Amino acid sequence: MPSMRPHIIFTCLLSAGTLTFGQAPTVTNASGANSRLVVSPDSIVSAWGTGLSTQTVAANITGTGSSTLPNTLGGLQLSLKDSANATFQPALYMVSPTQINYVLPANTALGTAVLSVSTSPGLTGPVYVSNVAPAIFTVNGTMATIPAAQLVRFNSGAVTAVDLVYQLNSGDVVARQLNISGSSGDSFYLMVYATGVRRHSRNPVIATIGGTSVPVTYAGPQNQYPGFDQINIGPLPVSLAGKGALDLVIRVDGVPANTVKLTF
Amino acid sequence: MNISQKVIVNNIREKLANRRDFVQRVGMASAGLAAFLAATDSASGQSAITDVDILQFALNLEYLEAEFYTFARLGKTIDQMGIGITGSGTTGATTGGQKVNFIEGSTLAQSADEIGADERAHVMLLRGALTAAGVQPVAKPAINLNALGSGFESQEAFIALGRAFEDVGVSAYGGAAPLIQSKAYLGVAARILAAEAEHTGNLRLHAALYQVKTAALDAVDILPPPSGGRYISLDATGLTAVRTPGQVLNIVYGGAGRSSGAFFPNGANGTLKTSDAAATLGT
Repeated sequence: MPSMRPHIIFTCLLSAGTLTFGQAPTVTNASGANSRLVVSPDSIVSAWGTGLSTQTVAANITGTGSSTLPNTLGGLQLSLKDSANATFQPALYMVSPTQINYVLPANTALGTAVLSVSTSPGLTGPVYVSNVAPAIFTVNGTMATIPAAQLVRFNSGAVTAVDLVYQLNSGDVVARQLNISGSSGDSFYLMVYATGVRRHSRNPVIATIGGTSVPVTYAGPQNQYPGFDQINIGPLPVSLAGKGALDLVIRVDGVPANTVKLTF
Repeated sequence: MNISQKVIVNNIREKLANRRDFVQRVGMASAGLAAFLAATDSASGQSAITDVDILQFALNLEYLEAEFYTFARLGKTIDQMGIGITGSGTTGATTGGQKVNFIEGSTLAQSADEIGADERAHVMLLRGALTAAGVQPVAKPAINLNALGSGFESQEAFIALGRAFEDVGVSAYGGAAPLIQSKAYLGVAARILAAEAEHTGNLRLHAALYQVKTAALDAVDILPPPSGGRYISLDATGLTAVRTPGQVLNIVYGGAGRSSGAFFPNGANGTLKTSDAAATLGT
C-alpha cells in the first residue's frame, strides 16, 4: 500500500484554526485531529489559548520525508511534565498567538500531564494522556465530516489510481462520490489519515462503513511525519456502490474515532 | 420489591425471629472464619455475626463503589441521583470525587456507565431489602474518594482505582459467603458476587488495553497486565481471592487495627467496622 503525502492535512497543522470552549482554561490541549481532550503519546496535539506566541511560525517540513521537527519555533518552547514527573520538550509543527500544534512525546507516561508554554509562566494546562486516542483528520473545517483520506484502486497487485475523497466546489471542500465499481480485477482501498492510533494492542482495529464491516489491513505510523498515522481499509465491498453518504466508524481497542462520512 | 429483595427480606425476617449463634450452628470454623470472628469480637464485643451484619457491611462497600462510579461519570453523588443514604449510624458527606474525562462512546465509558448503574442498583437492593424486613439500613458513612490522591484525574487513574474496588468487592463477597446462614440469601449474594466479578473482569481487561500500571493491595491481590500477568484475577486453583471483612477494611481504611481511615475517614457504619489487627499488605 503506497503512503501518500497528505498535503492538505499539513496545511491544517501548519496554520491556525478555531476551537470554541465554554470557558477556556489558560491552555487547553486537545487532539490535533478531532479536538477531543484525551490524547495519546506520539500523537499530534493542539494547545489552545491566548497570547501563546507573539508570531505565527510553521516548521519547515516540506520535502523532508521522515522529518525531525524543531523544539523551538518563533522563540517559543513547550515543556511537558508527565504523570511520572518526567519532563519533555515536545516537537513543534506550528506556533501562533492562539494555537500551538505539537507532538506529544512518545515516552509520555499515561495519566495527566501538564503543558507549559515558555512565553509566560501562567500559560499552562492539563494534557489527558491515554494509550490510544484515535482521531481522524477532517478537511471541511468546522463541519468536520469529510475525512482526510484517499481512495486507492488496485489491479493485479499494482496501484492503478489514487483519488481524494473530497474535492473543491466554488472554494468549499465537499465530498467526492467514490466510484468503486471499476472494471474486472479492480479492488478498492481507503487510506485514512489519523493520529493517536499507533499504540493499539494486537487486537484488530475495527472499521465499518454504513454498518458494513470492512477489513483493516494496516493501522499505524504513516512514517513521513511525526505523530501522523494511517489506516488502510479494504477491499471495499462493491455492495457499497451507490449507497450515498455513509458513516465510517473506526474503533481502536474499543475506543471510537470521530465518525466521518464517505459518499458512494 | 423485586425477586432478589424478596429473598433477602424473607431471610432477614427469619433471622430476626430466630437469632441463633452462628458459630455454634456451623460447628467447625475455617481459618478464615476464625480470623473473621476474632476481628469481629474486638469490634463489637459479640461473638455471633448475623446475616444482617454481613448485609450492612456489604452496603458500606456498595456505597463506596456507587459513589466512585457516579462521580466519575456524572460528577454527582448518589444522593444527588435520588438514592437514599440515611439510616443507622452516622451519615457523612462524600468528598474527593470529580467527573473523569472519558472518550465518549468507548468501551470504557460505556462500561463505566453500566457498572455505575449496577452499583447504584446494589445500594438500592440492599437498602430496600433491609427496610422491608424491618431493619434500618446503615447510613452512608463519610467517604473520601481521594484517599489515595488518585482515581479521577484520567481514564487510567479511574481504571486503576475501579479495578481495586472491584477485586476487593469480589473477595469480600467470597469471604462472607461461608458466614451466610440462609441458602436463599446466599443465592442472592452469589449473584451480587458474580456481578462484581464481571465488573472486575471488564476493568482488568481495560487495564491491559490502556496499559495501566497497578500496585498490589495486599498479599492476595492478583494484578492484571501490564503490572501483573493475569487478565482474570484467579489463583492457580482457578478461584478468586477471599478476604474477611477485617481484611477488606484493612485495605479501605489504609491500615491494620483501625476503626476508620482512608476511604472511610469516620469509619464504616454497622457492627463490622474494625480492620484486622495484622497488616496484610504485601511487599
